[in-house]
Amino acid sequence: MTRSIAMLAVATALACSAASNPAAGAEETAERDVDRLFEAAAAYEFGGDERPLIEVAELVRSSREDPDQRRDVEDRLLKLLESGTPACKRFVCRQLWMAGSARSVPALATLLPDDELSDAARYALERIADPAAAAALRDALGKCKGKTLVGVVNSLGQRRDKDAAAALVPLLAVRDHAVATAAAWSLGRIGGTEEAWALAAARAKAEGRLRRVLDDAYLLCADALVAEGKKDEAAKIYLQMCAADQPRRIRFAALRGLLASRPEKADPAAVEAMRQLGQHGGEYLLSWMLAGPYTEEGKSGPDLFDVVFPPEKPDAKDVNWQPVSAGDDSAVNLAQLLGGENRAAYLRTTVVSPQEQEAVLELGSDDGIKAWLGGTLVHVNNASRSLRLDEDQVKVTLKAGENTLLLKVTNGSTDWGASARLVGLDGKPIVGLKVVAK
Amino acid sequence: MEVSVRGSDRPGQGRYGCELVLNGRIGKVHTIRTYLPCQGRLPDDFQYEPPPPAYGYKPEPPPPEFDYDRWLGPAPWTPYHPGRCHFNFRWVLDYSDGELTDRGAHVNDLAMWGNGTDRTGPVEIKGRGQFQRGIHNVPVRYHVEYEFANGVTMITTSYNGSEDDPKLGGRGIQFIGTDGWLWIEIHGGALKASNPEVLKSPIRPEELHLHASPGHHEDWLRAIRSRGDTVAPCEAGHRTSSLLHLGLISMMLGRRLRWDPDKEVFPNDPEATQMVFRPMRSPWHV
Repeated sequence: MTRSIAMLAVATALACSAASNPAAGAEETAERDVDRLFEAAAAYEFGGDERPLIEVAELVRSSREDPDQRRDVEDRLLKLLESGTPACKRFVCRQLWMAGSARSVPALATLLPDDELSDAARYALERIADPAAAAALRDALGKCKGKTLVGVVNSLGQRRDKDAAAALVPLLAVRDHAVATAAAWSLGRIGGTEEAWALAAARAKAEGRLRRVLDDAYLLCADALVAEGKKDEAAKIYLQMCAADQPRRIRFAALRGLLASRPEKADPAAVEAMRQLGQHGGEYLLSWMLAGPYTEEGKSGPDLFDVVFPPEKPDAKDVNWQPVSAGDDSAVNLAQLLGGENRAAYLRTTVVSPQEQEAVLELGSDDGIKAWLGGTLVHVNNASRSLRLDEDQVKVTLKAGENTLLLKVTNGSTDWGASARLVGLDGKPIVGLKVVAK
Repeated sequence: MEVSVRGSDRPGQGRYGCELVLNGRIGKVHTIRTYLPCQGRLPDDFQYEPPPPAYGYKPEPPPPEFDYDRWLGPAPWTPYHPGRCHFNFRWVLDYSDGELTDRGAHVNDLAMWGNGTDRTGPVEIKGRGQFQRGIHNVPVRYHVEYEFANGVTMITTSYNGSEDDPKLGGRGIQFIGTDGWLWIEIHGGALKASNPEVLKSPIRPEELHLHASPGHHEDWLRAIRSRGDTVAPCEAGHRTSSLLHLGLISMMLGRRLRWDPDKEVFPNDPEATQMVFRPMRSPWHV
């Protein structure tokens, strides 16, 4: 042991107030003290005397500024990895999380297949930047199984180790679901063209839980491709995952990725994907045609509630319908679109139902609202109120095919708007509903 | 998603205090001091076995109704003891940074909001701390100075009875600017200012207004309906948590750290970089 670690040990032992004989001051005494310290640490069992571990941890901390001292401490820790109890080895791995270097890799690598200590070894190994650590993890793929293999696969993914991808791909097809899942996530995190192909191929054959994991991994891979600058490649994946046959949460995530990856273009594919998403049943009705404002001199908003304006008449001509959208809050903001007080406006859209079915029309309005479905008046509420989503609930019957929904919304003063959506009698989204603003 | 505790006790006061600061009522802010407690606590019936200075604890079997493996999740495996779990997890470095993250999540979050840095981080961190030993090993006394690109120094300190005690009422945040100071108390939301008139100042329509939350539950439900943000979205929560973890790393390494808040890396600092993440127990991953 070098002079420096002995003096460091004396200083540290003084600081810990646990030195056996600091007054002796001799380097040889300090050296023996450190030897005894590490021997005591090697014998540590849970529930035993923690002082040797506390002092070793202090040595690790205080050695960081001197490379020679740090090397000595690291060497002693590595000896503990060979000779210590399992409890001691767990402690050592935590220290090597901070203090480990390429020198620690071989000793840590031997623990990777160990059911009890593999996680502890990875606690240090995964963070050692040196390529030797990655190589050791890759090498362990052939030596580990079950939980230890899952851990090693995850560590390679966390490191985004490109060199591991070729070995991870075959794991997508293994029967051990946990291993296949870990391989999917790791490949997604690593990202890259070949990785994307492998995930695509695996997705095509998978179903159920594994398919969902692969979906997430595939999107993760697309995100990684964007980070690499391969935006067009990523966009192809995002567009694929925006398709109508994908689960909604996947479509939202994919659309977000698509818009983030190609913001410089008003991408027709993205716009179409957004339009499709806005048209799912259970969603708020976002796309409308708007006509108005309509006023009558001397009449307030509530007064206008029963005044019949052209949009209510079945064969009205010269009604100027404009396409509008609901805002981020799912309501159409008529104050912003039209403005003004003591007036009325009309919103019209078409709901296409795959079959005749009952539903609940949920409405919010500021102020009053009338609703016609398929030409039949289904709801009146000459309210003076702020808009709260879903405040009015109306049981309706949708016929198979197209159902025209017409809303009349009156305004007294200030805020003016309306929201609408259709849900099943059980409150859940209605599958297969489409909405077209016409 | 809603992360953090902005104004959870009195939704208006914390926000109003931050709006006063952001709208220049105390001039240009140069220093923010956040005060956190320094206690660690063991169960009343806890006995070290062996006793201090050995600091050991005898492992116990976990209660039969407690899935200890699931509770540990990605954290390293250690034998069960109630002193590590349940309420007491917060004093164990495997799971928490102690009061730094426990109360820091409340206090420093509001400080970041009032500093206008709740979507970014510091550029330099210098921390020192005294760590407990034994079953509880978090920093019990600490002092961390954060430098931000906007020129503000944020000082986070444990105060209980120390020279850092602000004597302004306990746990809270003091914003100090060129025209005075403003204090926001945590848990209670009381405001104090060097010029009390400042606390009567309305925030004008054309000035900066922060997100007004009607309470966390309603705020969260509204965000779901509108697809907008909550008062404390994930990014803000991440920036508060990471701020405090940076402080811990600085304490553990015992030196100053430089941080790139945009790339979220320690530039050219492999030693600190090694500590940015703690690898997860199988089968967990991010």
